Amino acid sequence: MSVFYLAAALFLLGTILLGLIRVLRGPGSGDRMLAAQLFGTTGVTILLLLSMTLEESALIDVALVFALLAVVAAVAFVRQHGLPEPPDTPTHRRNPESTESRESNDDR
Amino acid sequence: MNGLLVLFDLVLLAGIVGVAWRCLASTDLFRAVVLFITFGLLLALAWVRLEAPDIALAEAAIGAGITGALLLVTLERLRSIMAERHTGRPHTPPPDPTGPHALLRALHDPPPERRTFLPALTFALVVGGLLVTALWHQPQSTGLEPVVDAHMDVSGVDHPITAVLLNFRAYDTFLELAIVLIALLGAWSLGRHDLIPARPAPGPILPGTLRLLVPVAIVTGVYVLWAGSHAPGGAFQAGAILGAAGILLVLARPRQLPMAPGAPLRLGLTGGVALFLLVGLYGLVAGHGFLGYAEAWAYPLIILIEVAATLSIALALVALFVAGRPTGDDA
Repeated sequence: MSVFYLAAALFLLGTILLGLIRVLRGPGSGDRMLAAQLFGTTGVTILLLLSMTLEESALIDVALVFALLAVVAAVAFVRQHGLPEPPDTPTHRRNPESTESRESNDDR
Repeated sequence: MNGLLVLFDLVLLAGIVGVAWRCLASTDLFRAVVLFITFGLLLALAWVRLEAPDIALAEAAIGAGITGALLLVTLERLRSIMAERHTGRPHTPPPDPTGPHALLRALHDPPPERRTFLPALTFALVVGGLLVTALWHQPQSTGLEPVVDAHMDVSGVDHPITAVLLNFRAYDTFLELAIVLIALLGAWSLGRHDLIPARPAPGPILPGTLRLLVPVAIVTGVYVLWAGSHAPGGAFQAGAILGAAGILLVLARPRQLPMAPGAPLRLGLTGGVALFLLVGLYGLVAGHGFLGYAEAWAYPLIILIEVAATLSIALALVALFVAGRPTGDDA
């Protein structure tokens, strides 16, 4: 059974690496942030599977802390994202709505 | 089974190196922040595989709970500073490369990338070569594990890591607590508390989440502190979890942030270091040596120090997140 758990953990790790494509390519900040949130959930599962495989019950605590605190970054993102910005604010965010400001930034 | 474990480790290693590289090479700061959050997650898994669940717990609490939010808020502050700089001056002259905001500008308008691979490659090869040579000639040693195991009965606790941190090498932990305090003094010396920019969040989701999450975070923090005496956990991990709960509260009500009055806040911040120092001095007077305990008193003293240290670390992390001295504090 522990071989199955380990194989599942390996599979989930692979999905994290695949999900990195969404972080790297975006296009929006929300896409990137949600991908990272999904990694948090996947990481919790990997930790629980590893705790079964390695018979290390302390890993359940690590998973608990991750599950609990993954939301902090999301709250920070939700509270900060979308603050009114002047149109010529230089930004490297590739939002569809900010492409204009990005171009003007490049022209400068 | 073992083959699968090796494969897991290799994939994890490749992921860590790849994410670290993309994070450092990213010109998009927001993308770099998200990659850094992912990096923390993979790093926690690596600590698990290195059989260091204590550090995995600390990485989980700090990586997931604190650095992500800290970097996102910092990014937003940088943006608002840049926005202030740009409003009213649509045609700015070419920026002075040594001006007061040179660093900010460099962060936002990175200079065109120069292809200087050769020095970087040489440096990496030299450092890599030195590391390999150092690891090649590792002496055969079982480390300090047998020594610690032999003295566990006098340590006052059942978890070897806590025994080392709070008893055998209490000196290190004491100085680590002092470093957290000094970092906060450094941040406070830079100026006054400035409100974190945030937009009002309409709807019931955020308050509801907080109402459910903050109490659970406090219970978890206390649990991790209590677990430290016999299992992975302890003051730093518990402090980070409680600090993250405090950061959630700060993020939730940034406009009417209730600042703690000066004196109690300062007492809480210094409590961990002060109590540790007092116990250490008492040990010196009573003849157990600086930071030594009488065997019978070891457990209650360690728990007492850990509780004070947890509160101090949690307060210091929230205060570092808020970043400035409390308003209305002219002392």
